[in-house]
Amino acid sequence: MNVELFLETLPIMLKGMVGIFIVIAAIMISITVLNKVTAGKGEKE
Amino acid sequence: MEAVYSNLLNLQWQQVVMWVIGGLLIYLAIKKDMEPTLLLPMGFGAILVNLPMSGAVTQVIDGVEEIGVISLLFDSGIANELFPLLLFIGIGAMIDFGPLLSNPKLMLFGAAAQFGIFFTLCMAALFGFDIKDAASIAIIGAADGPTSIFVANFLQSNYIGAIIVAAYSYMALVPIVQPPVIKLLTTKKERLIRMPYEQRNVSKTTRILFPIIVTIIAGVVAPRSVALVGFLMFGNLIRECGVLGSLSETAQKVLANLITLFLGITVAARMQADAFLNPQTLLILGLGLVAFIVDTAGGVIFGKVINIFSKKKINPMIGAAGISAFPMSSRVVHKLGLAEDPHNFLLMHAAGANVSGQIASVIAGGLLLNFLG
Repeated sequence: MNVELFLETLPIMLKGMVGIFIVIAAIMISITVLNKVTAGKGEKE
Repeated sequence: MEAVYSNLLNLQWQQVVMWVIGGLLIYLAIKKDMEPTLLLPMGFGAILVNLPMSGAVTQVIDGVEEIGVISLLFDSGIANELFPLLLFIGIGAMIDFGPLLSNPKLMLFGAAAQFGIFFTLCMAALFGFDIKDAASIAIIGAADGPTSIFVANFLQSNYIGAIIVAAYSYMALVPIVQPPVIKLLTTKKERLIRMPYEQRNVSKTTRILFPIIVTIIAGVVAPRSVALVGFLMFGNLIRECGVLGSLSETAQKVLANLITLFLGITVAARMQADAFLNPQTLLILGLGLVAFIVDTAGGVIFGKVINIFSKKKINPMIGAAGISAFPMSSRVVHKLGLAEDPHNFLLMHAAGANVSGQIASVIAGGLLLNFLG
């Protein structure tokens, strides 16, 4: 058991999850804006 | 006459064990229909590279290096990450992001369900793997073969064979692994929550701009993921642009099939008995299972947390579809929903979370490379 390395990975877990949520939130906001901007332009599928 | 049987003396029992493992993979592929496109070539490759003095792998005979074709394919297609990236073009061309684009909030489930990756990173480190091997093992939780291969290879993991076998095996086992976890974490009342699907039109402009925007955002935040995300999104752009129908079809079928064919048998280069048969392989298989379970739990628990704050209740089962195993995971959630209430159709919501998981898992891989590469 390598407790020292385990403790070193905890901040990576935190940074990783925060990073994913930031990227995903940015993409989510972009899609929402895109959907609003392009709504009703007569090119629906 | 001696020449006929002399090579038999070079046979080691470990190689015979690998034949059995290869046979098992072929059996699972054919009889159980478990990821046959990958497990069958891998199983055959495992036998091929574990024949005594196998000419399929590079070896030194009488001081002269003889290049084996499997080793050559590995160096040409996996060691430089080419095969997984090319396969991603095909996968990108196959995915319809429509359900996600019509309900972007579902993307959050894809993010939450990557928790298993980082949890497993910590566990693998605790069990004594060095940080790069731990990250390579953790990425099994991406539930996505090409990402696992890309990350494990980039980090030069010593356990790439076991990691790939675990990744593809658990993807095939999603219908067995996920339901008990989902049921354990949800009440019957939660599983009965109905989510009517409102069909919203998505403009062609949105569909075309989406892969470009995702590439830019992911590339800026995690530059090392840009090859993975970029090739996935390039495939999707080919699909959605509307003027490259023939290329899209080729990417989805011919390209994906060809790469898959070579990928499976080439991975076997890392399934030689001396590298594969060790206690760490069993530990990696165990940690891979942990990654899938915690991914599932992460998505479901995130759904339950959202319900605390939201007036419009979400069926937390769709959180489980946030793992990248597409489309198996969304089908699992849909079937569980129908089992509780035959009129509760969760498929489109689950599919949205599922394709989001595809993007999020690639970003998770890219972030790991950024942190440790």
